[in-house]
Amino acid sequence: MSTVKGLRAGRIALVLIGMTLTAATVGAEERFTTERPSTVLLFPKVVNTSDTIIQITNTTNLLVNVHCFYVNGQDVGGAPIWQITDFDLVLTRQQPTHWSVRNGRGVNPNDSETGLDPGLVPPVVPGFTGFLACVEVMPSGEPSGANSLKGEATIGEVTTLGAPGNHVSKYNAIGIQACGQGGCGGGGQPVNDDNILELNNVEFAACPGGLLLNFAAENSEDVAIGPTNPPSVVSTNLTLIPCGLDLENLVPASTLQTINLRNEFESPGSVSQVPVDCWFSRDLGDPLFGNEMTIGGLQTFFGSGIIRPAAPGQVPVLGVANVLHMAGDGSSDTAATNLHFCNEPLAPSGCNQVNSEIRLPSLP
Amino acid sequence: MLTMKKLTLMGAAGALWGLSALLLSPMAHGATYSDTGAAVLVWPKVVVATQRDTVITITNSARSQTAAHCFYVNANSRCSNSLEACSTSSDCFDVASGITGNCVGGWIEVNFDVILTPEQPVAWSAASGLGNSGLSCPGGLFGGSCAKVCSGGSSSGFPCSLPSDCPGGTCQFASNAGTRVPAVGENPFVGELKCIESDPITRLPKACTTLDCNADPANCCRADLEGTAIITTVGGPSSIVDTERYNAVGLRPTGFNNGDRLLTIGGTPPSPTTTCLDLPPETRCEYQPCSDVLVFNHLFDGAVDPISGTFVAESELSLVPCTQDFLTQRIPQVTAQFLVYNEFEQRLSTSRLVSCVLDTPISLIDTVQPNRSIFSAALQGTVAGQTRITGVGGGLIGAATLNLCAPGVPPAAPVCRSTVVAPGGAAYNLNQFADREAADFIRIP
Repeated sequence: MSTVKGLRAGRIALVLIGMTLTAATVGAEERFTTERPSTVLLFPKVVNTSDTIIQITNTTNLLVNVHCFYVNGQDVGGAPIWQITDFDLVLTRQQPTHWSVRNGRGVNPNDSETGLDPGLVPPVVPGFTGFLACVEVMPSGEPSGANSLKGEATIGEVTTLGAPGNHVSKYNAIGIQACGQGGCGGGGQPVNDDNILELNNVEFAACPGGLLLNFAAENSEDVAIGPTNPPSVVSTNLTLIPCGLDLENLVPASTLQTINLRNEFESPGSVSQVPVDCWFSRDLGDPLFGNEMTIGGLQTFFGSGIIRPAAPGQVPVLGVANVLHMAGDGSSDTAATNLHFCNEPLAPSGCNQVNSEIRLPSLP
Repeated sequence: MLTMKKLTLMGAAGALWGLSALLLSPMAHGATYSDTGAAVLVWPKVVVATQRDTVITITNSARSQTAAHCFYVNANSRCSNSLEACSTSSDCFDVASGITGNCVGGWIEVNFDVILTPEQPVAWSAASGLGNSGLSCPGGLFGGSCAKVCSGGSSSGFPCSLPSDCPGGTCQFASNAGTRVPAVGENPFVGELKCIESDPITRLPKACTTLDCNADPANCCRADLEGTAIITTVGGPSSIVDTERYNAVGLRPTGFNNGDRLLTIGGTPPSPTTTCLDLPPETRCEYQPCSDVLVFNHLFDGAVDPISGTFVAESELSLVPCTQDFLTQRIPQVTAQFLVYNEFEQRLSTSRLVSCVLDTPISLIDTVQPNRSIFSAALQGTVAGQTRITGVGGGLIGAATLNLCAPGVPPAAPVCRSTVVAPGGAAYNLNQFADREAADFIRIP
């Protein structure tokens, strides 16, 4: 008898949970974000040429399991090596954690890293240049959709006080939110337990149609430094990764992008056929950009650009810009900035969301 | 009389309530944006000092001309005796009279307009401003280098090349005429900047009734502005350059705006099944709500920096209220409650009044003795922390800065507080969580 009562109560409970979830998430705007807790975190620029500090936080009151993948996009012989190293984290409720990618983090309560060790984090190889992807999973390894994680990366090199080469820059991780029932504008469904994370506004948010880059013209004078310590120079490094990964078959993702530019006179410019093969990191003065974004080509100090797929079928990209500001005496610093997402389909943006996927390794 | 069955069901319902609340919380969303276009931009930290300046960039992502009606908020405290800017009363000692004045909080608002041509990026130094000679498209005799837009008619503000492209209007060179960005006018200056997307003629938010600009371009609510701030310090004990950069925080439209001087940000829905758009027009929300909780990941102050292994971290937090009354210039006050978690999952809390602008090292939020602060690594025992900030009496918007400093000998503070330039610094945006239920307001003159 008590079993029957329990079953009835359980059934009512499920119906109520379903109703509550549906009511609460209608109209919710799950999306790619740099400022909201998410299920998937992407750190587009992780380097061991200078060090990178990763911070990840569980923003919920439940214990969270995380499966992370370092992807080494180091260029060897003209091609990225696409070497993947994966590891697991366990974050207790509201727990923040951090590690240096150069040193990793051991599981040793007696070491100098105080706090609850989240798991064994391996160090990356010397010269590592690539990205980090972390996915919130169930304890059994299937993807979860709880949108619990947030993260930041600090890229830096600090030697001595006053050293001209001290560079520190920090950016927020790019989060991909799971839609949940009725989310992502109404069509969302709960995350299923297969190893493919569908970025389609049903299971997870779809890829943004483009990225908006606001930049100082390459090699232009710095408005703030120039009057004090001339001649100053600004140089922007752009790091991009494809929106979509195949971590099961270890196939490097490739895509072609177009950058449409405007200067302060509204004069248009463009860079076509920018190949993003696994991991892309170039200065705006690189010959690949055809002098369009230098002070000579742009002809104004500031410009804006929209980075979009070059053709239908190509996936968009995600990225971060790291800007070097150098004074006349050679002292310098960097400042990273998250790029704005472009989801406006109307002209001039013309950014239509694109479906893609992240394929995780199959569970045994 | 309650039967066992009823009790079982009530228990199940109670459990459900708790479980539902637990499940729901991660799905709630804050609705300010630092990574996409917006209709109101907020730069919570604008500083000018000797050897320090903030460069503001703002971009119009639309194909039509638009305007930003902007407000610098000067949040400098002032000495009651000399009216000089101060940070504590000890700065107000007058040698001649031997009297120490009070350091009194206050704020001064300075408003100006920025006219943006289609898809135009514009930047200026807060210390210098942007005058007519600095404009890309000043108009008049010097306007010939800019693209053309329609003036008047049904296509007003949109690009054109021939008069026939502008039914009922004329095709003329686009112009930034009307843009005058004043210098902040004080050194030192600590404050914020707010810019509201406005009609280029009335300088008020445009009345609108839909978000669908494809179906109804004339009546759609636009969110075309993007902004960044670059805080640069040059000089110091050694010749050093330090740059910090963050994105402006934006408010996006809801799909309704009555075009008046009171901007309504979020609001309590009239019933659980409705939204704030179902409120009467005079109280209907015009912008998406500010977030209920700001989530701030940081390194605790005094923690050894994991990059160098020798320097120590010092974070700064800048908070401004969502609500501001630029008409009466009353100082907006919101109490910020801080829940601080360390890597042991331990939780401590404090609170602090945000009066106009709070811009402070985090270990001075709760005490004047940094080593005793709950934001101190010495007290917390771990390097990284998470702080959840809830505004009481209003929403909050913020940004953060990480500085790496030479360690001081306790109880002395880290050296970066006593020098102009830290060995390295970086700014970043805060995360956010859940919507505020109550409305916030911006009232413009």
